[in-house]
Amino acid sequence: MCAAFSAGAQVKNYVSLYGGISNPTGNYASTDYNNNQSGFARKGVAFQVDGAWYIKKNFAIGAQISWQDQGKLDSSRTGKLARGYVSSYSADDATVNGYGRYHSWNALVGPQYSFTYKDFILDLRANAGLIWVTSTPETSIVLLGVPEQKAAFYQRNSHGMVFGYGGTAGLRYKLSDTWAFGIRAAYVASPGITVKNDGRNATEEAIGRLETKIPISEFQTTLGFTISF
Amino acid sequence: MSKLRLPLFLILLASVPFIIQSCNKDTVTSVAYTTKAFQANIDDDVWAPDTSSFAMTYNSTANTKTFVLQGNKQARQVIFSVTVPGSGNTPGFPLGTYTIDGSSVTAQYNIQATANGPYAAHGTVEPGAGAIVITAVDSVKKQITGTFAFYSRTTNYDTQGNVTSIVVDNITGGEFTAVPYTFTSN
Repeated sequence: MCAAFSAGAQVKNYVSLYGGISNPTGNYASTDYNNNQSGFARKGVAFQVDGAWYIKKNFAIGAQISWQDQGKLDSSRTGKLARGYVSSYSADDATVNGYGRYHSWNALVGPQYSFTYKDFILDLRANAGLIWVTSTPETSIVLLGVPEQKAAFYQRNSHGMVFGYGGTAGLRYKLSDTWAFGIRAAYVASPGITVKNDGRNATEEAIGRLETKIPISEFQTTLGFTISF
Repeated sequence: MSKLRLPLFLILLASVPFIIQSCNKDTVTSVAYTTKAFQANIDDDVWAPDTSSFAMTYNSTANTKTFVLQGNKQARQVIFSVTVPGSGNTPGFPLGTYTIDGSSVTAQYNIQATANGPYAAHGTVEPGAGAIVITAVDSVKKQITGTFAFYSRTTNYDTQGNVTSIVVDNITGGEFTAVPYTFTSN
């Protein structure tokens, strides 16, 4: 299919609005209690404002700002955490409360090349930029039968701005000289943000799950419209 | 109108995340309990002993067999003892429900008042205050399974001998599942 696309035609600058699904991948999606980098993130929605400014024929500088929700801890996830804490602390029982959601903004820029074929335009881009995590789920844990950890302890709602990178592939179909319909796939990754924990008995730090960093990786598939100018 | 198209488009784009930002943030709570083979609820709190023993002893003189289970954790101790007559010098034990009678079937709920100090009875377990049910015994593997429940009553008095309060400790949902036991005869 790519062979059919041409790099010969001039492509116009554009701005797009896309919406779709953001799937966490790797550690970000992992629900393994024993993996201290498991993010327990869930499939969510993503909205993107995307654009490209063509500086030479089919070569452009592209940029995107996206917002994504990666869900909250559901009962399956808090249950896994509770069972894990019971096991690792040898507790009589564990109560895990999960509150809040994963929300983040991505602001990424990078070189883009566009191939054209009749009314189709294939955009390929490498991205780098910032990921601004505005919220992560908070958990509170209460153990029973653990004299060394009688008080509740917490993995706090965390936020921060970190470096991110990735790539996108998009296919646009021109509906007119101005409007186009598009579908995009984007991958974004980041070493992730630091997570604050408190309330733990220092001597118990080595016991049980202790997440200090949440690496982020997500694969987004979105649909939308483009306006060229 | 065409000049407004792009700004309107961008405003529409920018408004979407703020609408979605209000999505569900309810607290989700999960409770997990220990899966240890020996556990009970003491006054509604799960209690899974970190130290336990299960012993069966045959007394050839009296021709009786006694099964004793004991568990300790966090200054709380539960002891159950069942003695049955004439069941032979074998590592088995008759299945059945044994109601506390204060002599051949007894239970104790003990508290350790100070760290490393002695355990002392916390209240009195009266006849009829509970039972232990032996549901399975594997005399080859020496594993025993059963359930138990009882209550221990503490009556507090003032200096004139008047009752000031009664405290009841409920030991419920006790279970031991395929726990290993020792067998001795003397």
